[in-house]
This record gives sequence, C-alpha cells and structure tokens, in this order.
Amino acid sequence: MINNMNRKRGLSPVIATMLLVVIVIVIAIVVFVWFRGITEEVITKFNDKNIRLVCDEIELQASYDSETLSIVNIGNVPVYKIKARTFLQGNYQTVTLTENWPATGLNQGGAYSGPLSGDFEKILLIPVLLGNSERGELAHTCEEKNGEEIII
Amino acid sequence: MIKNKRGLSAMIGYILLIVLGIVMSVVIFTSLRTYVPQDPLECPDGAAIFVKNATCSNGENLTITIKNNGKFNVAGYFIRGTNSAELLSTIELYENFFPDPTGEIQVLGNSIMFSVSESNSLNPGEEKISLFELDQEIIAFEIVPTRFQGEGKNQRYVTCTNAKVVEEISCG
Repeated sequence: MINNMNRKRGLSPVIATMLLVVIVIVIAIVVFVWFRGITEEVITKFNDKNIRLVCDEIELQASYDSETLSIVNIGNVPVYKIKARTFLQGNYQTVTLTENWPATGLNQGGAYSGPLSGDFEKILLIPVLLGNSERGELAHTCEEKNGEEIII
Repeated sequence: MIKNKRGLSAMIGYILLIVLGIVMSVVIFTSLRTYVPQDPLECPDGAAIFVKNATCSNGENLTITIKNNGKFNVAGYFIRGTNSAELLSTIELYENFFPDPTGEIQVLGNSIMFSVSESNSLNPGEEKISLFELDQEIIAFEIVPTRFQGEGKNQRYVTCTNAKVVEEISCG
C-alpha cells in the first residue's frame, strides 16, 4: 500500500501555484469587465465631477406668459438643452425646446425667450447637460428634482 | 500517513485573498471616484456693484456707469433688459454693446468684461462706463456681477446672482 502511494502521480506544487494565480487573475478580469458592463457609464463635468452632482448646482429662473416661455440661467452651470414637461389633468408630455434656443446652449447668465403653446396647469423645465465620458461628449438629462417648476 | 498528505499552501491562500481584495477596491474606486462631493465654486458674499448713473440719449443710446461698491474685485457683468414688468429680463444687451474707445472693456461670451486680460480687474471703489446702442425698447435692465473664482485648472467664471441690481429706465 505504501508502494502504491509512492507511485501515485500528482500535479507539481509549482505548477499548481501558477495555475491558481492565473485562475485568480482571469476571474478578477472577468468580474471587472462584467461589473463595468452593468454599471452606467460615468459622465463627468468640471474636472472629473460626476454630472449628477453638477445637476444639483443648476439654478434657473423661469416664467410663462401669453404663450411665451422665458428662462434665465442664474447659476454657474451652462445648460445644453431643456426639456419642457407640460402637465394637464394628470397627463403630461415632454418637448425639447428648440425654437430660438441658443446653438451653444444656455450659458451662465444667458436668457431665453421662446414660444410654448397649449393648455397647461404646470410646466416642469428639466435641464440637459453636456459632459465628458470615455466615448467623448455625452448629453445627460438631469432628474426632475433639478427642474424648475412653473405653476400656470 | 498524515505527514505525507499534501495540501494548498497557506501562503497561496493569502495571495489569492489579497489579489481579490485589491481588484475589488480598484473596481469600486474607479466607479465611485467621481461621486466625491466637492464644494461648488461660488461668488463671495461681499462682491457687489451698483449703477452709479444710467442715461438714455437720442432715445436709443444707453450709457451706464458701474461702480464696484463691494469688498472684492469684479471681472465683469451680465446685462439683460426687459420691456414688460411681468416678464423676466431676457433681452441680452451685451449684443448692443458699443466698443469701448480705450479697448479695455470687451464682450466675453455673453458678458461684459472690464479688462482684456480676463481677470478680476475692477477694484473696490473703481468705476467704468459702458455704452449700449439699443435696437428695441426696454423699461428696465438688470446687471449681475461676475468673477473669476478658484485657482489654476479649478478657476471658473462665476456669476454673483445675489448681487443682482435692477434699474428702471425707458430707452430704445
């Protein structure tokens, strides 16, 4: 029985160690790539600051009168676009402001005045920012909490 | 029999754990690095300007004298007009800026700068005169001072919204 045990062949400890290390590295790479694939692409603005944090710094002043929407950017964040969400009796629709909209967006201190016709109870202006990512410049729509509300 | 049994070295186990820990920390750091909150650059509370004088000549030439009555230097200002008391001031008057004969004051983007050097050049107590040739009527205008805040690559052009000044004048 002892002779049988001496004749048993197995894996060299050196090779086993190398295999283990290689397996760990491969698994780590797979986990890393998978994790990056399921998480949202990071968009940054102003020296690697997450664009979601920049959305909180937006300050807009807005008014609506005689089918004319007026917006002034009183903050320090340039707004690329604005989506106007209009509410009526529990329903809403969203349009992106394009008519009279500045080509470079609403920079800080900038003002906008354009038409917005329809019957609304409330308008919510949702800013869209332009940030940087690995794929280049990308637009990011801020959350509703960062929007400016106008009660008609 | 027990002494001849072979098993996984404890050292290898440690190496595996450490490598896993490092990889996970790199993954988490990469994804959360951008969420570190940073204080936004803002205009200091003591920055302020006021309209010392505002006149309308020939029905369309608006001349304003702006004086720095705050504690900090100011770089320039935004100026917007309105022709309705109910509406926001959305008439961008920088477009009507008449070039300064001295060449000092200039338009930068959508704001008026007190110096070509793009710095906080208007010291407390100093004043500057600007002329605007209006192409539409206004009943009031508002000016908001601006400053370069921060240093190096963190420097940004910020608006001092809290120091906004509104002046009523019929011109244009």
